[in-house]
Amino acid sequence: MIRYDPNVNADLLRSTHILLLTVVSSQTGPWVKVSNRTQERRVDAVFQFDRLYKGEILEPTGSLVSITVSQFAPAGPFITGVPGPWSPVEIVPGARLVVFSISGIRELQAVLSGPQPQRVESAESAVPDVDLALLAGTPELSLPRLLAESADRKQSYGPLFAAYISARLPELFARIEDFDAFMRQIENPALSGVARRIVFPDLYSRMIMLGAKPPWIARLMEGTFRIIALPDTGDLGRNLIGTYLPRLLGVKGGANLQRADEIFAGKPGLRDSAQRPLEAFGAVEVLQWLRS
Amino acid sequence: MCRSGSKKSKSKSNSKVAPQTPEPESEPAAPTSAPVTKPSRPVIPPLAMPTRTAWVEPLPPSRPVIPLLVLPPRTLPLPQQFPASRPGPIATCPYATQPTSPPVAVEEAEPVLADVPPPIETPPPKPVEQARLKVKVSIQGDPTHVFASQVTSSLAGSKPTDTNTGIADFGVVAVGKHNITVVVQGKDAEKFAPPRGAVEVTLKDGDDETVPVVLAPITGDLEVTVKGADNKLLGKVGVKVTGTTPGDTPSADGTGISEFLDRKEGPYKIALTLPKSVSDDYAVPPKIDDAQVVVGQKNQAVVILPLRPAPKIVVADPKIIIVKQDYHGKDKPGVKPHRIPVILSAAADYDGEGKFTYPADTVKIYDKKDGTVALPSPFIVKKDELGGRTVYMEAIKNSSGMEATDLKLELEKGTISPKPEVTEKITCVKLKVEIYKSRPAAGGDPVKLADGPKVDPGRPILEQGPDGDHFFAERAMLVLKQAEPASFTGKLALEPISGGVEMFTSLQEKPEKGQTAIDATTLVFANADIDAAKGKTFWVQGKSVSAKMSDTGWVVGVEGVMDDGKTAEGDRATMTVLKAELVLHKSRAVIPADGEPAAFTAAAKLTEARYLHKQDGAKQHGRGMITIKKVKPDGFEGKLFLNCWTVKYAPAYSETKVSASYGLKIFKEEIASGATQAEQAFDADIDHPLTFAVDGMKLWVQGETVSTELRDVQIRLGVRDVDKGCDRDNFTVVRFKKLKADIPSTPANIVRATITGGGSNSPVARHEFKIADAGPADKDCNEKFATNEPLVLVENCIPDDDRINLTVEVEPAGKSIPVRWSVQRFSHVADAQGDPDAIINLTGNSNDPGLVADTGDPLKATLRANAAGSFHIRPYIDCNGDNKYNHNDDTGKRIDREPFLIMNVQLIRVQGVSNLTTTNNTAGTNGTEKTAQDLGGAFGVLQVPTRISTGDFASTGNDAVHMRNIARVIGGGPDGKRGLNKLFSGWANNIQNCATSPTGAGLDITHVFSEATTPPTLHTTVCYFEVNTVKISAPVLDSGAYGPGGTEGTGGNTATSTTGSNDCPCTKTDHASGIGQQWEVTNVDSPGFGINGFHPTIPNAMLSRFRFNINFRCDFIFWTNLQGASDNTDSPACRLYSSVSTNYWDVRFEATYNNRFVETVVDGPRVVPTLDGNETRLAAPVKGGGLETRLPDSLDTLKTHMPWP
Repeated sequence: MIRYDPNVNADLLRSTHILLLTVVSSQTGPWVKVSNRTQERRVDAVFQFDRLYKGEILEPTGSLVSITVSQFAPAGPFITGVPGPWSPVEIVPGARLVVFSISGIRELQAVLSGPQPQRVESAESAVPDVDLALLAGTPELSLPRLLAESADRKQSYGPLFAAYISARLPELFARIEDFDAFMRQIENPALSGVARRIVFPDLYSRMIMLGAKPPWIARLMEGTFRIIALPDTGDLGRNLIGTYLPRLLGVKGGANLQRADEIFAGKPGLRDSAQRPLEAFGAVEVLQWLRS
Repeated sequence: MCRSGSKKSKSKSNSKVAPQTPEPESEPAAPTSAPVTKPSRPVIPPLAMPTRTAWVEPLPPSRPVIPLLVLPPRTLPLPQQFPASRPGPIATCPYATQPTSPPVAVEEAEPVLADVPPPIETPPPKPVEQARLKVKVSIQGDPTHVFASQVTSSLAGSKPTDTNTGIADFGVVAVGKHNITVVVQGKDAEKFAPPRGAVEVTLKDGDDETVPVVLAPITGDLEVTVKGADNKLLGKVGVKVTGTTPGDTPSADGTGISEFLDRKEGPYKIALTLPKSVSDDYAVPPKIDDAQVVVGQKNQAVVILPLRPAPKIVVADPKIIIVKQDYHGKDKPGVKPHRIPVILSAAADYDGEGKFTYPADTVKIYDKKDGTVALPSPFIVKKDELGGRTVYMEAIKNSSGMEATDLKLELEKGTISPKPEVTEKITCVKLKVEIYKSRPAAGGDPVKLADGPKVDPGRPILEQGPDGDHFFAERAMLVLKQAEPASFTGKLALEPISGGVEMFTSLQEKPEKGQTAIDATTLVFANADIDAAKGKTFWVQGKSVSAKMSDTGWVVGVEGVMDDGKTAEGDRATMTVLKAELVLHKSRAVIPADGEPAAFTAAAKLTEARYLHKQDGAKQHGRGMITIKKVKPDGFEGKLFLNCWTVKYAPAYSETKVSASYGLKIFKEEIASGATQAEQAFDADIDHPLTFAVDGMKLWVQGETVSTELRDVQIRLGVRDVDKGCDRDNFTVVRFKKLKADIPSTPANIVRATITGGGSNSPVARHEFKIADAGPADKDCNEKFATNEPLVLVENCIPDDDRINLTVEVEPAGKSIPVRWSVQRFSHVADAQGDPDAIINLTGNSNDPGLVADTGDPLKATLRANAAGSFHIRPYIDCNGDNKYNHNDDTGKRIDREPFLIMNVQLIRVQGVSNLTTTNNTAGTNGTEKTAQDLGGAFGVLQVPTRISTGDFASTGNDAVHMRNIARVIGGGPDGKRGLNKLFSGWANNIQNCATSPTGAGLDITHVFSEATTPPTLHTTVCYFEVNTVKISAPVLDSGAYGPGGTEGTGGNTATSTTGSNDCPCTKTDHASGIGQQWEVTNVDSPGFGINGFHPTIPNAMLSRFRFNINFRCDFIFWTNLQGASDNTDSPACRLYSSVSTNYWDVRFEATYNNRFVETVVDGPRVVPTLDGNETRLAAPVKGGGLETRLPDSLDTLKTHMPWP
């Protein structure tokens, strides 16, 4: 069972219920412009409750539930985010959906209705991540161990699981060994790009927020330098080196200013290797810090 | 001189005295008054003074000679009345005035002439020779006296004497021895006798002899002189002598002599009979010595009449005794009873005693003036005291009338008859002065003090106030009663015991300005003028505090009746001028260690009064201290009480005693609490023992009922039975209510319509945060933020030009109550839930969040909210003049808080930590997305650009911009997290004006179509924002996607997010310091647009240029919502935004297309971030910063593909 944690943003954790549904039937209404920006349609669908990943539902799997949901879409050519958890998915017969819901009620209908669903993903994209989270088991595997256990699926880490990882990052700041083990997993070139884009910035942010100590910072820098050297990382390197790293080190922003000699204590190689990427991304302040 | 031998004299004498005291013929007369039975002293015989001793011949041997009394040389002085030359014996008596020597004892002698022998017959002699013989008979000392006598010579015979010459001439006789004898004839024979035996004469021849024969007298005279002991010669006293020759003759006037002649020798008893004229003053001596008659002598006896003793009572004028009251003679008040000396005496020597009688039920007498044992009645004045015995007389009862008390003294048991008793008349005057208790609270006449308490301890009275505004002390009724006996004709005098009291007339019970006390020296009243029933009424006022208890008051005496130099005190009304102070204290301005709260002045406590807030159910309001000071002077012991009055000063003064539903309550405890606290009930006794605390009794007054007027409730300190309330403290009970914070909302950056057909986006409704809107509930005065939920705002969210307006109402309304405003940090010092130093000492922080009282209206203030942490905003009434609200002492202990109402305010510091906003240039379609379209004809299938996206909104980290910022948020309380549950944040995104926009404003999403003409005709379509057919300029809110039109930009999270949800993901971690949190708030945006390959209305116009330039601004904003809702739930202050970070991000893409849609990218795709230059800045008001948080939203007003120009 995936634990419930309402204080994080990861849907896998903050949802009370995670259900797998299959669209048995659906009747989709016309788009109706509800504003200059949004159009809405209603879909009357019958879902079969296939599996409960999280939470408690009174009805047994296989139960059918009929629900009317709304889907939104931009009303004009301007593309923007649209509301509604059901909006991103196709609700057509046979479609398999994973619903992330927050509800204090155990009736299937209630869990799937109204504002309770927070996110609806296609089973194709969501189930692997749900399965990864389930892999943590109860009691929960440590994050490094979970990643190690799922190392063969690194490439398929989706955004749900990446958010899951991010949500569990704080547990890595007690023992450097855990963090090192974690870093070894996520700096692995095989890690999915989504996970990399999500987890690395989140790592920086959490470490800033939690006031990480130099060994953790050094280890993160080491991993950062590794991944930004990978191909197809897009703007990740620029953002990590140009935005996140200076703020983690306190060179910019309000975090405590780190001392380079403390960060690189015992890691002269890292200090040397930092030069090139920093120069490459024009991290002038960090370079100055490095040389200070 | 009277000769007793004279019948005439005798008869005369008898005629005067006989009627009273018949004199027996043969018996000696008894004394007229007191016959003496025993001689107390030896008899002194009368003196015999021979004129010629030669002829005294010795008696014949057979007859022994009895010598006459031989007196020693005269050593005794004669009485002055007698000339020294006067011969003769002086008889003395015990009452002689100057008996200095004892009498000389003498032998008893036989009377010489008791028996005269008969003459001896002898034969005649023979003539032998002759001689001549004559016999001359004479009496001793008086040769001229001629007797008729017969002389016989033994030789010559007898011859009578010549009656002229007294010579018996015998002629010639024979010589020889002649024995010559003489026989006295006639009456002289009773007086004289010849010598015993014959006288021998021998004649010789030729002799011619005249033989003298001297007769000896055989009687004597007795002269009795009667005189008083005062040497006054007393006439008309019957003097009776009894003896051989008794007699009775009164004393002669002028000489006091009674003369008894020719008395035969022997003792004579003298008896006196006093005429009234004499007996009034004199008495017969108890013993009169016998008088001794010596023949031939003029015997004298002096009888000295003792003065008859007169009883005498001497009482000095005015012969008034003030009747003793019970208190007289007691230690308290130490006033001796009035006693007057009474001198009892006898006006002459008296050997008896005096008996002094007096009405024992009216007076008592004492040995001494301060004697304690009364003398018995009747009182016997002993003999030896009769010279003057002073007793002191006090009165125990009034006389029945003027001079109606008789004092009598009589003499008795003496040997002398005293004068009759004497009576002295005095007047015993009973005086009465009454003093009355304070007039009963319920009305009616004052009750009179009983006599005991009247004197000890007496009637306390309060010291009168210093001026007409403080004439609070009651006057005491004093009644001077008519003295008893009612007929007393004197004047009564009222005198103050000291200058501490003064008197007013019967019409001046109530002290008022302009009244003048009666001159005490004029308080003298004729008893007759005093009403017998009612007396004479006065009102006594305490003028100055007594130095000690019972040291003043009034006494009444009788004018002119003095005692020890001052008016004898007949009654008194003891008084003590008390000073009973009820101190009204201001509220504490300092910690208790520095002492008690300061006190109002006597004037200020009435004119300013002490404000109290009506106590609430949670007992949160302060009490006002009053102190019952120890009553002066020391020694006061009694009962005090407090009572409550409703007073009104305008338009006219009035007062009403409150007997129920008091506007105040009084407690011993300073701090009200829910625990049972006993009230000090109004009108209940408060013991004031001798041991009453020197620094007084501190009590605390609590407001119960809201005043209707200023200082309309008053506590008075009364002294039971003395004063119903002298010192007074005024109070005004207030109640604050409707404390309101009028909170501005962030105004629209640009005022315009919300949407086409809609209303204006301005003004933006403000919020009101109200405390005690319907009257204060318990929570409204609670400092606890958990109870009195705070207004939660972001620090510094308020622009200086639009502050929070604070207003409050206070009851009683419209009374210009001097309300002040206070801000107080809710500090850990005061409460564990208060702010720790880590918050208090935040950089740039202060304890004043910009509270500014309105200079014109004390019920208004403004608040900037420009400090962080927890604050109590209080309208209050400054009750100590220190111009600040005094809350706790330095130890955090609650004190006597001033009237207040609390609005708790939680101001949250929001400060940027890390601005982690990043952009992706390659996200989304990374340029335009093209779709193969069969355009037919010559075109065939071409890759036609259909859209451009800069991200996927799919939480994959693949978005044009990833707004991410970490901010430190610090609320209040020990962990700095209080209030954070009401804090919300998000990213507010605006579309800015883009410089490349063809319209000059807004965004630049521009299509240029080329119509295949020669030369080609270009048609441009643009996008712009339009409301009500009017193009509007940016910035325009570009927020989340939920809700019907007109929802965005209406508060809360409707101004944030650019994803399908208005909420921006937020990750919260507690700050490592333990204070506050760090919030990471993210948001993504990935603008995109559908590209038209052909002109919407000109089919043959193909896209030749497409520009997708949009300038964005995103602000990391915060707001609060007291309902805890992140959305626009209408609650303070969901429309008031602060920005902690402002970033800009511009999307740039431009491409050109040939007639086969072959794309040449001119610019981009790129997303250009411009981050806030001060990413650690504090949150600042959005207002004025150019950020639009109000509708209309961009997409709600966006017009796309609009031909341009």
